[in-house]
Amino acid sequence: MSNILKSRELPIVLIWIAVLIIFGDYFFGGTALRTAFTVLTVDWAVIITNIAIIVGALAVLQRSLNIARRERTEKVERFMQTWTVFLAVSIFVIGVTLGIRSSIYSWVYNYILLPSWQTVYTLIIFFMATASYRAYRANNSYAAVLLISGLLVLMRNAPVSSSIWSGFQDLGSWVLDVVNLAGTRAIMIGAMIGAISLLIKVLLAKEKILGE
Amino acid sequence: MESDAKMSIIQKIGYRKMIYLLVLVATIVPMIYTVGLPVVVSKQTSDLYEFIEKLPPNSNVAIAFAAYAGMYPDAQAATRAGLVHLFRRPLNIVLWHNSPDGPMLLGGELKYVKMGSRIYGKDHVILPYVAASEATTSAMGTNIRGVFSVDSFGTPLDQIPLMKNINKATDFSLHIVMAAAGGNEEWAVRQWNIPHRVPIGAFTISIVYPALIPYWRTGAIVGMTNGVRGGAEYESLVGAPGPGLRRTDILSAVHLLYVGLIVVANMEMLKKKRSEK
Repeated sequence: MSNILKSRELPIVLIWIAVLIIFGDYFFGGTALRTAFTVLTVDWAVIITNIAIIVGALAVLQRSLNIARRERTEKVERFMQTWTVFLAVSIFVIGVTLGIRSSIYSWVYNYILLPSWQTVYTLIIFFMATASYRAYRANNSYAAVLLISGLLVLMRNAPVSSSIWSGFQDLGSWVLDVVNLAGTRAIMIGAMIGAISLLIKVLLAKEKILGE
Repeated sequence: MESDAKMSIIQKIGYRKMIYLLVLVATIVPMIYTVGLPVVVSKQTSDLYEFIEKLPPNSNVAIAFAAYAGMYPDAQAATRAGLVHLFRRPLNIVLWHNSPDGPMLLGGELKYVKMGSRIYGKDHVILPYVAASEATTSAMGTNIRGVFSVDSFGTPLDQIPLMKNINKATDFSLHIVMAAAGGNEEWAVRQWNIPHRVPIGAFTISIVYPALIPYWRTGAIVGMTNGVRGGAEYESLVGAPGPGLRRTDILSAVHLLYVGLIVVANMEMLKKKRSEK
């Protein structure tokens, strides 16, 4: 049994089955293929996602507890790790026992989790500001083109720009709708061709990531 | 080592501290002194608004609510204005959650929606969270009951009057992806628009917006909003001022600060190059 699980052929067979079901459903349809497709994509996707969440949560808890237990860990760090574990377990227990519509869970979410996440995300604004000063320089002609495009899009997105000069809207929109369009299309088409070639390599067992 | 006389003010204070301070000022001052500059509505935003406005009464609209807490401030204005608009029109709305944060965030936004004579189950339904993936989006396009058996309150779909004639993508006149942080809109285009010809609308964040422009140009996406800026545009179209229009001054101030910093940095670079010559 262990030999089968470790074999190089097993993942390739599973991938072939998945590909045949998905391609078959897309091109030919039919009830049997549709059922197999739903089981594969929905049921198994949910099962794998939930297992991943459990594994991830346990790994984070274990890591935090290990750091807290270590003798060489500083007191503040030890306290923060223990506090993190306590909060995580408490919120989990509240969510499971009282439900996510309970007032306690809503309070925790709205007044602790939401502001924390949004603060972390919003801190980017400071790094973007320093980056615009440090890195956005017209050192050569390519950088100058990038700089001008960036400035035009920046001005387009600033509501005040139309009060300064209405042309900022048109120029910024041109950069987004024409220049960006060409670049994005090239990337998208390239990525899809790459995905197809990767699929062919995987199906023909030419891809090294499988069992080697 | 540069002498003190040759150093710019920014270098003397330490440019990081100086810039952080400027960002703070550019954010806080417009909060206190609001100017309320007008917002020019972009073609993408007006296209989405017009499409929803022209939907015949009793059209079915599917909404994939994919808001994540961290990025939500960027999408909040458009999401709220979009919900106000959709619920104002006589449309049947089927909403499902594509993010675990969705149920918590949607509750906050629906407080701003005037339900009027709307009855849950008859003209709108909220379905629970389902893990977002292209495969799930595809499966929902052909059999919603294969993904959801009950709504978010535990009522079986077959007992909900609105859901009696709804089970697949072709039952909908529009599929809207709301507040997603990337991916969901493209899945909707590939799995709902291309095979089933369902038009797609997107209330999206600024990071995702440029990548969706090709789909808008081809008509797969009928219209879309661009972060806070797009939210402010949509609020002005709907006539429901909210967080978007309140933040336009901040948006302007911070953008102008970025432009100013770039100009200063480049002037310093040119000055340095000239002195080296």
